[in-house]
Amino acid sequence: MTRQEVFTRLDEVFQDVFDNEEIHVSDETTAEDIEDWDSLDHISLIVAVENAFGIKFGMGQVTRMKNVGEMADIILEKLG
Amino acid sequence: MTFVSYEFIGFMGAALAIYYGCRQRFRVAVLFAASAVLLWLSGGPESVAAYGFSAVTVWAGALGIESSRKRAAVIYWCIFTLNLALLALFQYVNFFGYTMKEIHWLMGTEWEWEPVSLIAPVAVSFYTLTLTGYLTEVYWGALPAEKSLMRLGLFGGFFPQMAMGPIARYDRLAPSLFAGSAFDKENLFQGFSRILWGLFEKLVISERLAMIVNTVYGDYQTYTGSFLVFGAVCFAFRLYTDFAGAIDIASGCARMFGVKLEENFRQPFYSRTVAEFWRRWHITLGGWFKDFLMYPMLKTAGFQSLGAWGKKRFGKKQGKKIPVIGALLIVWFLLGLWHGGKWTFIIGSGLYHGILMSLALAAEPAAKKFYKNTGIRQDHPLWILFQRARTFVLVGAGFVLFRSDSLEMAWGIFSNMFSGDMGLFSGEGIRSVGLLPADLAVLAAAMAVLWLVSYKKEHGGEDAFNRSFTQIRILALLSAVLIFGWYGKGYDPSAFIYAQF
Repeated sequence: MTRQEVFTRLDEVFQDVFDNEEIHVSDETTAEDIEDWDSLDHISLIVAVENAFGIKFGMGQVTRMKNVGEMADIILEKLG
Repeated sequence: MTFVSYEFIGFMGAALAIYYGCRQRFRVAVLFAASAVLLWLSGGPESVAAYGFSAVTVWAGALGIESSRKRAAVIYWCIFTLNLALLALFQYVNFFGYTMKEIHWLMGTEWEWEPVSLIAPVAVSFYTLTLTGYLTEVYWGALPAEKSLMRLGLFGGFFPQMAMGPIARYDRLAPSLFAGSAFDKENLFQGFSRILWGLFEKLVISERLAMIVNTVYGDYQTYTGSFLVFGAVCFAFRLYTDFAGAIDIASGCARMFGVKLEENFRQPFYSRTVAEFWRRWHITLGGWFKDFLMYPMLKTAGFQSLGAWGKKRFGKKQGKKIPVIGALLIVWFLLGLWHGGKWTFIIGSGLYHGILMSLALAAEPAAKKFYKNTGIRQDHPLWILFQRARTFVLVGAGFVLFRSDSLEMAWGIFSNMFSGDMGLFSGEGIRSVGLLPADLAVLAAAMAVLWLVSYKKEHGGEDAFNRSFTQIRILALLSAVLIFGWYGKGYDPSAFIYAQF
């Protein structure tokens, strides 16, 4: 899977979790940029991403991811 | 020895002189030694032994986890449980007694009982979280284990932050804590300014508010109605200036050694919702519970299947909130319990807020409809003001419980609030709340300064506030602290509220 494909898939997951077709994520996207992405919804998002890619994030990664770019890096590393 | 004492000023002076007087490679050792000495002076050998035990077990546990991933889970859970059990022993020894007392009060019966007096080691609630948080991150593989016992011991016990936080995270504190920073005038100046600001909050504002709160709450059968409402407002600011003042002093002291502590407050009274309030108040405590309890709990299979059930039952949007609400209630119960084994804490700084947040979460669709139907603009200044006032009232009500000795007292205060007594608004009334008119004037002026500073921080950021310290303003602040923070010979400022936890 290329980085571009990961982002396309992530767009779908984000749109589904936050129920907003207009969301498009990039490397720099953070929780600040998406209205409903707060600490209460963080784990819903994480689990949806895990299911979409068939991977598991470590708890350290869950708490430390700073932006979607880091999330994509971890996904590519796990898939690789 | 508290931050507000001549002994502490002397101690800081000596520590700074030795720190900058010695070679760079010895500076971490100097901070370690200074922290150990201060812990001994404030808590005696028992506190040093208790902290030493926790630091050594966590240090060794982390190294064990790293060297044997196979046994990591066993080691982790043993050390984690051991440290929490120690905390529980000291903090919750009277939990059963207090619980029985509250149950008997609810049932209208009497319960005679003497609380066990067990002196807890200094700062045990704070360093237990700091150290177990580090251990957890090593267990998760997110941090390498610290090899040096001295460095690990300093991380959990660095003297400015040990007693009242902020609760440190290893990856964020270690770089500046272990740098052995070279002498830098800017660090000294900024650190000193921040200490002065903290002293202003504590001595000029908090201590005056305390006199009002103690007068009114001390006799809440007599001071009713407007007096109790005023007392509740005063206590909200009293708690803020006491705790934020302590954190400002701690951050300033650390900064003088070139160490950067995390921010623990971000103008909490600007919050528009209770959830936002807790993202701005005691930030590092909330962060600890979020990362080390809430997230791992929500990720477990049990909570995931609760979510799946919820979605089937209540639809996708509302259903996924079910596990979150469950987790919120557990987390907030424990957050309240962290403050101590009394139900006034468990409810007042715990469950009550968890329930408010859960209600807000469940009512989201209704709120959206409300905005749509009424056409209220959410960014209208008046609406924002209303939301801030509403949040203040809700949070302030929780603080009433927090300040009360028992649920009975809290109930008495709440019910007497509605007595209709408007006596506060008479000359005689305002003179009876425990402060002389001159002191009330000083308090009002100081509160105006606090508001100005908060406004500046809120709209310009922390940096803008720090940059605003000019020499002339420092001199003014120093004079204010010396003149209005001085309550006469023999007066001992009351201890910091959060030092009891």
